[in-house]
Amino acid sequence: MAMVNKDNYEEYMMMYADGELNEAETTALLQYVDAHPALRKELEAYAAAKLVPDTTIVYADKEQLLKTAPAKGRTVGMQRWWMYAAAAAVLLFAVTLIRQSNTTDSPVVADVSSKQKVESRKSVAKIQSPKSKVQSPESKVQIPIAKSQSQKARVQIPKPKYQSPNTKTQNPNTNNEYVPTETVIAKEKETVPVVQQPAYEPVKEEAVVAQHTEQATTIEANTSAPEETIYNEPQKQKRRLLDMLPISKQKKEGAGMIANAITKRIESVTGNLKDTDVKLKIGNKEIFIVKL
Amino acid sequence: MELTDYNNCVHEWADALFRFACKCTGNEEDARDVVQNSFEVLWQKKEHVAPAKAKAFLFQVAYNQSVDNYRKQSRVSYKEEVDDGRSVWQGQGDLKRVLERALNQLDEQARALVLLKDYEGYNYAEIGQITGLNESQVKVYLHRARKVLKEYLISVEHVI
Repeated sequence: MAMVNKDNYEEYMMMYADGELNEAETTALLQYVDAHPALRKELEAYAAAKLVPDTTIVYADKEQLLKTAPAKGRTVGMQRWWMYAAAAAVLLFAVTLIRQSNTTDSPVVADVSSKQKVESRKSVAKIQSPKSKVQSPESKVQIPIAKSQSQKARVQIPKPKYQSPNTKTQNPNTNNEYVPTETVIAKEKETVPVVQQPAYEPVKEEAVVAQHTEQATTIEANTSAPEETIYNEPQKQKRRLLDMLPISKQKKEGAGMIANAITKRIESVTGNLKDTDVKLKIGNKEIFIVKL
Repeated sequence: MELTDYNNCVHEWADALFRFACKCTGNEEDARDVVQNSFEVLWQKKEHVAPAKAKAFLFQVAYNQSVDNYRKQSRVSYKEEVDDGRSVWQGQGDLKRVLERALNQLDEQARALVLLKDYEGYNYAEIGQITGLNESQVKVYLHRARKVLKEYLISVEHVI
């Protein structure tokens, strides 16, 4: 049972006015007041000292506070549009660049099974730094090599010829840090198809004499020369364009990572791209929508 | 909280928030700003505010803005003298008027506490969450304020 006395009755009265007393406490207070009638007026005064909201005061502009759902496919928040446009352009550029390089890269990584390819890659690997990824398939190379002397000869002959363009590409290494890795990779892509062709043909006709194969390699070496220049030009151009962007190397790498992530995402939903929009959101804030 | 929850909040709480802000800031123009800002903040944080907590959230923002606003500007004086012979307490309408006058005797924080208690019916714990005070502070400040209001009523009664 709550104890109300002359020291605490006022607090009880205020809590009573505030509606913070439980049933037992309320009963105790009212009994105390009954026992001390002089305090009744004070209790009434506390109870009266409560404010009542004036319902005639209303907020007139509620409509302005209400929100509507953003219209589908509409471009929103395009203040400073040029910044978003520039960002979108850089992203698109990076995405297309990375996508293209990804599609050309993938067969090289996947088709390691052929010994001839690996042999050609071996020559590339020699030029690259010892940390290069290409080194790991080297161990596989050793096993299947010695099928026939003629094959060995064929595959090894082009080596010096292909090395010479590679050594040329090493020159820019010293000028630009960004170019070398890409050009070496580009080289890798180019040499593979070129060397593949001569290597496959003799496998089909195993009875071919060594002399003939020597001729074949010289012909193929000649035809490979123009192919190299054709493959090389667009690769270099693209790289130069990326280098021209006025951003630091770190940011370029970051942009590349973002572009890769976007590419993967896009590839995963390619089938459903019809009638969809591309939204750019940072956190919860929608920056813009591109209607496809 | 979804769009519809937010819009429901506007319909349900804009008036109450405006009344609260009016009494806290002392003028309608500031109160309107407080209401707009409070709802804007709610809209921005809607992902993190459950519909059931939206009212308390709105009053919390409004309380902070009103009290800050009042402290910064301190251009409105609520200190009024019980000097005119018209401050007569007769009937309910007069009681209300006298209480409004009494409310103006309080500082902005005490006024906000009384309003949250009497207008909105929040308990001490809830008022503590809105104002950032602990429960016993709320109780002490509120009782101090209530005593001032009661004394004011009695003093006016004596004038009669």
